[in-house]
Amino acid sequence: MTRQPSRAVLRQPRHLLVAAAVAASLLTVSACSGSSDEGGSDGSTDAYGFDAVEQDPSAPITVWVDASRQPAVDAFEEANPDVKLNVETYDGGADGSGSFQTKIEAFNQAGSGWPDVVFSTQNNDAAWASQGTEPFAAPVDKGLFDSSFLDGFTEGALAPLTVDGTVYGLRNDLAPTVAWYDKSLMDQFGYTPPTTWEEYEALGTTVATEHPGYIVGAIGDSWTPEVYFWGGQAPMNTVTGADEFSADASDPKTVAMAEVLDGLNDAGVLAQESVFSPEFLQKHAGKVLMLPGPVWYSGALFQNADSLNAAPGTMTAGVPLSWDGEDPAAGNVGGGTWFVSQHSANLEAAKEFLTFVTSDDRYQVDLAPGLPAYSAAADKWLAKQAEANFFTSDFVDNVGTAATMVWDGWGYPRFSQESVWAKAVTPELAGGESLVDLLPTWETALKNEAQANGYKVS
Amino acid sequence: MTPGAWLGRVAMIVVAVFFVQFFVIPIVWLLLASTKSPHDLITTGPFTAGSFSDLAANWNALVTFQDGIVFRWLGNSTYYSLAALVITLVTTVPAGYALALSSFRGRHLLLTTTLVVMLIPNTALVLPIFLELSTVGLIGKPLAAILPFSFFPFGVYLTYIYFSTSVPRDLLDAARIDGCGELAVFLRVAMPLATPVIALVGFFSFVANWNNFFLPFLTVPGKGSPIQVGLTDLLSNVPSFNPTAAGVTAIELPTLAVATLLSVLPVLLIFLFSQRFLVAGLTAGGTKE
Repeated sequence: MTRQPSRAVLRQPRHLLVAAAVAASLLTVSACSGSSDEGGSDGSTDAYGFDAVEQDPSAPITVWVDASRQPAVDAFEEANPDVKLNVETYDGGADGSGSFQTKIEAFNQAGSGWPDVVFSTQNNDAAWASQGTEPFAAPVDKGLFDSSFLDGFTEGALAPLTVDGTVYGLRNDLAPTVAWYDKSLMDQFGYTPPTTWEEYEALGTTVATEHPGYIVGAIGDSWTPEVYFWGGQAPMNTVTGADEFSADASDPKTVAMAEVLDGLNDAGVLAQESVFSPEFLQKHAGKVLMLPGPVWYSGALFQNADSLNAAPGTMTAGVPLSWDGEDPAAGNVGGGTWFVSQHSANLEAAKEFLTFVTSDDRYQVDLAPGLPAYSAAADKWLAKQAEANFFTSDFVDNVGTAATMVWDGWGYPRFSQESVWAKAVTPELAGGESLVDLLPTWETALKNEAQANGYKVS
Repeated sequence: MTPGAWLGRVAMIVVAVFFVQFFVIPIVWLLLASTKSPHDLITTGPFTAGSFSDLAANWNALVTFQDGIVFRWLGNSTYYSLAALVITLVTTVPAGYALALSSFRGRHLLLTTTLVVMLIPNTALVLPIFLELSTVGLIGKPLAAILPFSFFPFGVYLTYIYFSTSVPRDLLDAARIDGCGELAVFLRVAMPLATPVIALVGFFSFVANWNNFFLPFLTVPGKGSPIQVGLTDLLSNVPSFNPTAAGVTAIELPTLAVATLLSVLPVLLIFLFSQRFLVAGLTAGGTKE
C-alpha cells in the first residue's frame, strides 16, 4: 500500500509557511542584487550635461530599431564602415506595447546591459526616459550636439522630447495633421475645400443632403483626439512641468469641436470605423471626399493598393483647419524618436549615428517613408514627392506648412492619450452617445490615468 | 427512447455544436486567411478560400522578411525548448521518484516548496531571474532561456503523483531482493514503467517552453529571439497595429496568419505523434487496482 504523502504535507501548515518564507526571501535577495554599481557613473566627464561613464572611442554601440528602421542602419553602416554596431530589432514600442520601457527598467534593476541608441515609434517616451534616479535618456542640448545642428530641426519638432526645458532625444519624422481631400470630387461636386472648422461643418451638412454616402472624416480610430481636438486647440492634454497634467472638457474650443463632430456624425458623413478596418474600405472606398488626418495617410491609405488606392492626381492635403478668425493649428499623430543612453561608453559614435539617421540625405531623403523632422532633409523629401506627382494641388507647400503649425498646447505625458480615448469614448460613441455628453467622461478618464501615472492633476 | 432522453440528446448535441464552432471557427478563419491576398482578406467573405498563389505570395513575404529571420526564430525556439526539455527530464523524473518512493530528511519541505513554487505565476519570477542571469553575464546567451525553461516544478509534481500511485513498492522491493542497486531499480524498473508520465512531462514542458514569451523577451532579445517574441516583431510591422510603419514594411495580415500557423505547427505535430502516450499518461494514476 502506497502512502499518500501529499495529504500529510497539506496537513502541516508549518512547512507551508517555511517554504513560503524561503521563496519570499529568495525573491527579495535576487531583487536587491540588481543595485550594483556596474555601469554607473565614474565621473569621467561632464561635458555632455550628465555624469557620463568612461568613454572608449573604439567601443561598439548597441542600437535598437524596429524593422522599418533597418534601412537607416544599413545606410549608416555603408557610409561609416569604421563604426562598429550591434543591431537588435525589436517592436519599436509599436501600438503602445511599452517594450522599450519594460526592457530599460529591467536593465536599470540589473545595473548593466543598456543599449547605446534606441529608436521608438512612440513620441511620449521622453516623459519617463528622462526621469528617475538613473534616467536612461541623455540630454542632447547640453553639449552632446551643437546647437547649430539642433536648430536645423523643424520648429516644434523636438517639443515631444523636451522635458523641463531640456531636450532628451532627436525626432526622426513628423506627423502633423492636414486636411486631406479629393480634389477631383470637390471639383466635380462644385465645392470649395474648407479652411475653417465652421466651413468644414457646413460642407459636411451639404454633402449629407446632396451626395449621401460620401464622407468628410473618420472618428473610429484611437488617434481621433489628436486629429480633431489637438488640431482644434482643445486643452485636453496639457502637461505643465514634469509632473503636472490638466484636461478641460468645458473649454469653449473643446465643446465647439465636440459639437462639430456630433453634427457631422448625426448627418452620417463621418466614418465610425477605423480607417484600417475592412468595413471602412467596403463602405467608403471611392467615397472619401475629405479626411482630416496625419500626413502619413499618404502612403498608408491613399497611395496604397491594399487600402483606398486613390487614382494619381486626385488627392491632396489642405493646410490644417482653423477656427473662424484664428490662426490654423495642426495636431500630431506619431513621428518616431531616437534616444542616446546616458550609460553609453561611446557617446561620440552614438552622436555620429543619430546625426546620420536624422539628417543625412542618404537615409532621410532617399529611403525614409515619412516626412523628415530635420528641416533641410524635409525640403528635399517634399521636393522628391512633388516630382512623383501622385498628390495634386499645393500638397508639398501645405505639408511643409503644417509641419510648423503643430499646436504646442498639447503635451506628451507618460501615458497614451489614444488608449484612454479608445477605452472611455469609442465604445460609447459607437453605441450612439453624443460626444458633447461624453466630454466629462473623457476628462475624468484622462485625469484618472494621469494620476495613476504620478501626475498632479488640475 | 423516451421524449426526455431525446431532448437530453438534442441538448447535448446543441451544446457540443456550439463549443465546436466556438473553438473551430477561429482556426478555420486563420487557415483561410493565410491563403488570401491582403485585399481579398478585406473584401471577400471571412470563410471563402483564397488561392495557392496567394498562399505562396504570403509565404514568400514571410521568408524574405529580414532575410528569412523567421527560420532563425524557429531554430532558436527549437534549440531552447529541446535543450531545456532534456534538462527538465533529467532532473524532474528522478526528483519525483525520490520524493514519492524514498524517505529522507526534508522530504516534506521539498515537496511543499515544489507545490508553492508551482503556484507562483511565471511572470512574477521573470525579473528576479533576469537579475540573476544578468549578474552572471548570461543575458543574450542561449543559456539565458534554457536554464529558466528547465525549471519545471510541475514536472516534479506530476512524476511524484505517478510514482506514488502507479508504481507498486513491492515491485521495486522485489528488484532489490534480486540484487539490484538503487540506481538499477530506478533505471531498469521504475523508468520503463514511467514512460507515459515522462512523455506527459516532456510534452507539457516543451509546450510551455515553446509558448513562453515574457522571459525570452527580456533575456534573449534581438537575433536570439524565439518565434513567440519574433511574432511581435512581425506584428509591429502590420499597418493595422502600427500605422506609422505603413508604406515601408512588407508584413500584411495574411503573412502574419502564415507566421502564426508556422509557430503552432511544431507543437501540433508533436501532439499528433505522441497522443497515445499522452492520453495514457493523463489517465495513469487515476484508478488503482
